[in-house]
Amino acid sequence: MTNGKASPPADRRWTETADGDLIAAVATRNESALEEAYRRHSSSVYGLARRLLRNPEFADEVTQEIFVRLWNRPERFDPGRGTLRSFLLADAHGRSVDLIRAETARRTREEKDAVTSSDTAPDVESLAIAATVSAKVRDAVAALSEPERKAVELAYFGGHTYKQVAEILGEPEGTIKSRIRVALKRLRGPLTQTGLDET
Amino acid sequence: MTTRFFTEDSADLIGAYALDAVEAAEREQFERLLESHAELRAELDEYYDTLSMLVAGFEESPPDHVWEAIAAHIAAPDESTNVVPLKPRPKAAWRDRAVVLLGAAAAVLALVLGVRVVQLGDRVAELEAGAPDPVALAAASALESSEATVAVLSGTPGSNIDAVTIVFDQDGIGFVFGDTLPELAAAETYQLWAITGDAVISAGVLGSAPGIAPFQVADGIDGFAITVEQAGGVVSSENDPAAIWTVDA
Repeated sequence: MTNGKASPPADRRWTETADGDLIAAVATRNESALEEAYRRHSSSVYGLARRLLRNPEFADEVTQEIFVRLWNRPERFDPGRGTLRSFLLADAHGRSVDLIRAETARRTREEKDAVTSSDTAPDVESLAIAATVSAKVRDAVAALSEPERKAVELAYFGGHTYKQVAEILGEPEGTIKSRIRVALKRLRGPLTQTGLDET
Repeated sequence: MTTRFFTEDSADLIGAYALDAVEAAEREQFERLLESHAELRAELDEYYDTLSMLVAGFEESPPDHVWEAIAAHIAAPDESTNVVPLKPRPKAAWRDRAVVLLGAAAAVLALVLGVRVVQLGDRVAELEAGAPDPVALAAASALESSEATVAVLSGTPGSNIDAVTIVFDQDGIGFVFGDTLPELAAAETYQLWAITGDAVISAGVLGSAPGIAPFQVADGIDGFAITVEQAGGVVSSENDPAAIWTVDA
């Protein structure tokens, strides 16, 4: 994992502990266990929020909220359903999208000018280029057709609902719904083969 | 032929749901579908995993002040358990009533307690053998701890509650085994209260069909009570306890 610098420092008691056991300790209100969860995953959470929101203060807010929520509601994480990282990233994405929509609504109200995807959403390719694993992600994204890539981009990175995506792309809502599902299925294979699932 | 309880059209929403690309009403509708369809939940988990791989490499360390804010928050009283001081209310009445209730039931309890020790042992085994739920495992561990106190709240007359087990340590950290409570209507909720000295504080809104829930309250616990409230809980209860336990009973 490429967490880089993170505060707080590692606590040796927890460094070898599996995520599920770590969260069991968080459930007993063990603060050092939460510190370890933060040390392991805060860079992923913050990095995603930062890319989506393009606003460091909002990314700070999302990261703080995600880990406070983990502290308050540790039972929401079910180790039988996936990794702690994917759980936290899903949480961070949901919260970031809430902020994107709220901010878009605010700007729309203030400027009387709807914000389109082009000025709010990073695209998959530019994110991939910036990433240290860009080649792997690029390869996986290349498995998608252009319409599939665009639909995922607008929805996941742009914070648009699938209905808004349908409107932007001028296609039926049902088509976009199916396309997103197919795209996610298609992405999985190449990403898994690159070993990114062990990140 | 297997009956399909959802159409492909409604199941197609799963991709958009994974991307947080659905509207609130559709989200709620889809979450109900998820509750009853394990295969959809498994598919959703795969998509979350896929997305976490897609953004691999975007890591960026947050500034130090983010952790400092989190640390300050968790050092403060726990908001999740809604620990708030209640307005002064007749706490003595609760305690007096508890003494009366438990005193009257003392002979019965003396017999029942022996049975419950065995039941708690069974409960630990049951929890440890179940699904890998971190809260259940932590609760099982707490039940086995020699430093923990086990409180068995007795249902009050007319409450339809037999008993509710709570385990807590000297720091006021504990678990309530709310899964033994009868399910309420959706518009109602169970609420846990801690009695500490002169204060009665909310220790958590448990929901209409509670499970095992962690809580944290100030130390010096003198008792616990559970009330039935309107959904969402209340800051100060005007209802009689549905179940109660006190240290001095």
